[in-house]
Amino acid sequence: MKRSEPLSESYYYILLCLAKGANHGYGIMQMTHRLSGGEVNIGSGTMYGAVSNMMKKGWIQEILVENPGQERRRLYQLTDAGLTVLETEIARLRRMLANAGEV
Amino acid sequence: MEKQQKKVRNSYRRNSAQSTEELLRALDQASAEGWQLVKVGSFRIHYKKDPNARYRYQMDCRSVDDWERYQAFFREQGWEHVCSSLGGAHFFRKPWDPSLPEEAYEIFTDLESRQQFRSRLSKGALLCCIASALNAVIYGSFLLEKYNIPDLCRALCWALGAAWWGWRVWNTRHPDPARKKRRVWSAVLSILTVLVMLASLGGMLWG
Repeated sequence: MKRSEPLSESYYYILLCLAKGANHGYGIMQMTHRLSGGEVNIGSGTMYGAVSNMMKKGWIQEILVENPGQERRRLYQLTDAGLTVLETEIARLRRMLANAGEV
Repeated sequence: MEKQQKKVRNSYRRNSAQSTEELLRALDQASAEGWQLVKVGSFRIHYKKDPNARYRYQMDCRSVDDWERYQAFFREQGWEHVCSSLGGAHFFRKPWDPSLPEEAYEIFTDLESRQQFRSRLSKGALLCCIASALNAVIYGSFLLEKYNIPDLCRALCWALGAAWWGWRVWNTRHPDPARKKRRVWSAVLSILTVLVMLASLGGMLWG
């Protein structure tokens, strides 16, 4: 398999948050904050750029949920390609951590 | 009374990262003084008096392919869209809360997105830099054919123009919080540009 580029922190957390199921933008931001113990925050500008880029790459897809009388919700879902990218990144991070333990 | 409620404050807006930061600080300061942003035009910033509100401002610069999604991401984090300019700059505000840390007002939270923002911001200046450099080369080539004062003046003008725009691109992409030295260089380059343009105008008229 071709060696992929490491993901940025924001990309990694967005994919990680979606691994458990579809989520909306604010949900992703909150979950990232919680998972990282408050260390990682994803700002609105960063979020829009990352989500748009990952949608173009086919890593995530958007689901529009119609709510009668309310604004429609936009949920984001991991695709198979996105899951592969996430798994590759997790394997890379595990390898790096293991290497650190060997030194 | 009406005059007090509606007041327009004029200021020049320069499209570079340095001045974007200055602009945002000016908007924050104006808001603290009770003047709330209504619109950022090409040359003027319009404010409305509202002493009961205080906001923090942020600016993004991009061509948005899905406006609804774009606004939703900002709205979800408490940002309100104020206005957009012709050049693709989008201004947002969030009510100021002294208990919140400074990071709560950041819209770009990683290095990659910050660099991309600066790259988008400097795109216009980069195009102007390339166009000016091309013009300088064209007039320079005329000089090689036959030396004459007007073409020398034009070539000099465009070359300095290219240097000026290039400086703006560099400044935008490599922000320096201290900015003291850069301000001096910006002033020197601007004065030099004006002087050469005036000298060139004189040269062209004379030529």
